[in-house]
Amino acid sequence: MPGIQLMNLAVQKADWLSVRQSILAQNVANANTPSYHAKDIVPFESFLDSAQLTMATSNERHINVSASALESPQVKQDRSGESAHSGNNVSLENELLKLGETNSQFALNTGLIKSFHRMISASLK
Amino acid sequence: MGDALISAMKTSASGLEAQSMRVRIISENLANAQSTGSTPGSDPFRRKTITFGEELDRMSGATLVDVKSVQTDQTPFGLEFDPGNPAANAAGYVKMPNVNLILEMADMREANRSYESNLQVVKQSREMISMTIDLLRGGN
Repeated sequence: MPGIQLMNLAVQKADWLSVRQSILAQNVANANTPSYHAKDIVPFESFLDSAQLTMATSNERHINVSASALESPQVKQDRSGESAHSGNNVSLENELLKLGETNSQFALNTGLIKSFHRMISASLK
Repeated sequence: MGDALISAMKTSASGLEAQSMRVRIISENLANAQSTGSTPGSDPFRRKTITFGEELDRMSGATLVDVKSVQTDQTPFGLEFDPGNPAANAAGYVKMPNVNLILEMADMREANRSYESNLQVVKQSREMISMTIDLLRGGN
């Protein structure tokens, strides 16, 4: 059922956004920690690509399971940017900008879930 | 998913705690900017410094920030000529604390800014959690 697929995608996006939020929170909290490098997670698109794996089957009676339970997104360290004398390259402005972005995307995402839900409910009336 | 948001809030809370500890150290330095010793030739108050470090919270897997160490600044003390002071040495000089007021103020501003940023993250994470909870409050 396509409705379920839509919901699945929305849930994955929510998952990705909240992991991103926690990574950005780490960056902000460690803004004054010596030799700390800012981190970010892989973009949602590539996260989805890596998630669409199916389990190998060696027998045709095996159930072909696609990996719907996602691994947590990969975290990558940002080595670029101007590094302070302490070896810390967190830019608070940049992190707060990303946080704002994450927040509004999350709002959009929950709005979408709401409207998917309305669509499903409408078909049941 | 809620888990990641909760751990984001935990991380920010540890950031808030670390920054307030930093402000505490700064206020100690400022309050003791004129604290000389009490016996002739004795050392005055020595400026304190604070260092942060990353710390993994094993319970939630969140990376927190913690006060790694509080050390003393080894810059030499300034000398002031004040023969009447009880801490004055034989030549009449008093050792003054190695606290630089401007430096402390700048440090305090930075701590303030970091504190605000952490607070902002807490606010946003909470907002995101309530957005999710609001999905249950359908009605339409």
